[in-house]
Amino acid sequence: MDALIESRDTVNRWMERFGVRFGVYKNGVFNEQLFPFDSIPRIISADDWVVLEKGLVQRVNALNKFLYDVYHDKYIIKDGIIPSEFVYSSKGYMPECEGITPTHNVYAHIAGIDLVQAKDGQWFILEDNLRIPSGASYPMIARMITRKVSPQTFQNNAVVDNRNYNKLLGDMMEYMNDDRGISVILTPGRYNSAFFEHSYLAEKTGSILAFPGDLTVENDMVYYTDLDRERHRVGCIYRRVSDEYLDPLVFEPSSLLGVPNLMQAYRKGNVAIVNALGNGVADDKGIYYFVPKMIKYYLHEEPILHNAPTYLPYYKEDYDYILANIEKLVIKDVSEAGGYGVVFGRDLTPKKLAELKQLIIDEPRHWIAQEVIDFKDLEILEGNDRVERKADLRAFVISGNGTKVWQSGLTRFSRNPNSFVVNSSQGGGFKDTWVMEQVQQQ
Amino acid sequence: MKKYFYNYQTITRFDIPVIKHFFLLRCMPCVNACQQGSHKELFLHPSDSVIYGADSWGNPIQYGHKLDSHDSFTFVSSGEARILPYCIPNEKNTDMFKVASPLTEPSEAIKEFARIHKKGKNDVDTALNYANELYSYLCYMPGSTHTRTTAKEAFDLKQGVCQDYAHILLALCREARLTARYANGFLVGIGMTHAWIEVLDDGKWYGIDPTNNKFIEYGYIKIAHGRDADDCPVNRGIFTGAATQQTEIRVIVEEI
Amino acid sequence: MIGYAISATKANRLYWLGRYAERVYISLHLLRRYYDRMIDGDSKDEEIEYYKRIDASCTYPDAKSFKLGYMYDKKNPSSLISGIEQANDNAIVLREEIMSETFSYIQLSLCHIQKEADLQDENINNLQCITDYLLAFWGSIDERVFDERIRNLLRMGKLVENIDMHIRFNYPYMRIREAYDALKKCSDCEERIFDPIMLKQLDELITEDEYNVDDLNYKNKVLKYINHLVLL
Repeated sequence: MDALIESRDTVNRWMERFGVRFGVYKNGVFNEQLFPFDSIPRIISADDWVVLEKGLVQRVNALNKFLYDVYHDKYIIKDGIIPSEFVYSSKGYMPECEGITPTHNVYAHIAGIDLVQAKDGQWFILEDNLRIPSGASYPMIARMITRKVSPQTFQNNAVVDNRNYNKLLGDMMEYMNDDRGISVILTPGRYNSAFFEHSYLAEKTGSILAFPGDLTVENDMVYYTDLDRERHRVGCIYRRVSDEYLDPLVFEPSSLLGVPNLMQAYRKGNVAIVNALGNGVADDKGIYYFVPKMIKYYLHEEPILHNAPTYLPYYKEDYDYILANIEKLVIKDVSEAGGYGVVFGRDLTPKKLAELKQLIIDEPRHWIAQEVIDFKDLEILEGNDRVERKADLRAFVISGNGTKVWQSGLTRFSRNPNSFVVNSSQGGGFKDTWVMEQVQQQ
Repeated sequence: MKKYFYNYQTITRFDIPVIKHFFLLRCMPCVNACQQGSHKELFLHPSDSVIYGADSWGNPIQYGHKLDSHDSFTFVSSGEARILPYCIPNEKNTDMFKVASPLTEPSEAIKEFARIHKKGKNDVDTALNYANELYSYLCYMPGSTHTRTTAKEAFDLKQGVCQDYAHILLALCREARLTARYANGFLVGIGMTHAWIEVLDDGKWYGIDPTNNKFIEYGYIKIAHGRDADDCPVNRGIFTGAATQQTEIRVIVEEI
Repeated sequence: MIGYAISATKANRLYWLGRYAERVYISLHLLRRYYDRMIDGDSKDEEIEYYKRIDASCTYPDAKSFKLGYMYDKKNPSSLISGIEQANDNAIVLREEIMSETFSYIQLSLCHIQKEADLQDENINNLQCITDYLLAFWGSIDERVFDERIRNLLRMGKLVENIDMHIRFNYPYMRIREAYDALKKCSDCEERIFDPIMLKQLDELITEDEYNVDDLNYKNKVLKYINHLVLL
């Protein structure tokens, strides 16, 4: 293991060689940066993993059922489990998806579930990412490199091989394609922050990387046109373009990233779109609160993984609790994303605290509050010193023919010792995530 | 029952030819318990293909493309509509029409307006009260707003066209916890498309035209409904080419 | 699945990746030769000749800035660093066609030249490994890219650039002939992307009797036609 840790710079050089980067816009200028790799892995024991895996499958199954229900019969609303306004005033709810049944009824094909571990070892779900969660390519390529650089480490440690992500993804795409044609990965273009991932996943799954303009819809079928003007029917699009840009005739009219009339081909069931449109309604910060209830409602099971204790000011009891305890809570603006609309009550001046209270009183539906979790920090190398930093884990759950959890994940950490925000767009780096093999009992 | 003849023409001209033109139209009448059509026709030129479908709200849509170079695009929708007094039985889940939509988000001023003006004895009555108050508050002023103007903005301007009247009335109704939706279509006597609202009361949708401060009975041929105008544009298109376009719209609706 | 369908945009990228990789490779070779001549001769003459050959849009006041400029000046479109950046811009969107391993040689070249550019050392010897990387790049294409079409498109770019550069620097007929014959082999399987009229014109111009690069008219004509040959 020490050999691996010492090889950090070698690994980072390999990453540079393969162009493992992510794009950032700073003051309007596009820059491609390396995503710094920290060589101390996050290690998850086989026993811990069993629980995580079960809990993640359960959660994603419930979320998939919820998405189907919300865009069809709405039983969960009729039965009073989720107040209707939480669904319909969610920014992620897309009425355009009403009544559309995606191929094989799957919505959240690739779910990125963010978790944190508390000091006592318990895992908590921080948020669900069901739209276009990114990041799997980084640990995937990191493992390829670390095995090369430090083979003895993997000889001495029984780490589950994670280089099968492309297989999980490829199999799912093939299942969704349903023999209708070719599968493509649709990227907004090379100036997207995750372009490396788009191109790497295309290479590793053997899919065509399609750019805006490569796809056209004619008579409710999607086609990819090649150099000889020959048209190839497309059966599955793993799109990395957001919902609102996907079809300029239905959504944002100024979008140049989309495919006109794609929505109609999708409605007719002639193409699978991965992930489905409209998923934002299920990963909304306001809906998060209800996920444990969904698990009970749809699966008749007790949730295996827990949410961070969350309060919804919409409910009187929670409202009173939040206003009385605001200084010890984390307050999140439900409509914001990307780690910005998150405030710690303890960091605010009395004046700011009073302002925030007023905002909650005015628009209770726009806010949630959570208890601050006592994070278990992870060691990282800062120069040559080991220091502890906040870190989370994004687990990837693939839903196709069954629900499978990738036996690894993206562990992100914050560079800043005082920061809780591990978002890669705000500095920070990543680690490999090791899931250990189950030791055979004699 | 009354019968109407309608003819809706849109001619778009491009100053330089365009290619890869894709379109999505909502220009043919809805079919519901109070509105039936016959001799419905759609003439499109030029066009490679057109498909007749429906959007999520059940509104008829017509979409397709013209890939080769062209410098104009014309569509004509015409036919006959048989109309019963405006009262459409509800079929689907309607909770989404209770909450504010992107273009009908209420401002403090709109909320205040909703509070001050008394509610009526039922939901239609409340909506009519609001429409009446709005009618004297707002000034009809073509050109003062655009297609993406929100209820908030038009309310502050105190000006607008039928779409703005409808948006503000929707904001008021939804603020008062009514279920209400945006509708558009053709109106007897005026040479353009028109917008109004529908309010759900006791399982039936009733039409209210805030621009004319009127409870609707006859004379309105509906082509689409949705949460707000963004859900039911008559004509959306996208093409390749640096052309500027000019669009001319003509509508004829006559009782027969 | 790969190679099953290449869009027109990607074909264009492949062609230009081939061109830029070859441009950098040949420029490195030529710059080494000019820098060597500048050791003995009048360096200003050499600079001026180089400008003339490539129709330079960018000139420099002295030998040192000339050397540094043609290696590391990002604002000079004919510099090595610009060429590598252009190659990288094309390669970056072709990862799944050429594979990460092949792409890595372009990335390595870019990283290396960026680091060298910061040092501002006028010795071109520091860039030997870029020559090595580019040779490895073409080797990797032969080893790893099995799709005939992708290889052909890259090769077409490479050969067009090769002919263009060699004519500019007055290489002898046989060098041009060999590259042109190879290019014509590509045209057999990619008929539709070769302009038949340009091809016919070039067939008449590139013969032992006609070949005369000292005639500026002739030279410009061939350069123009060769650059209009491929319809991508």
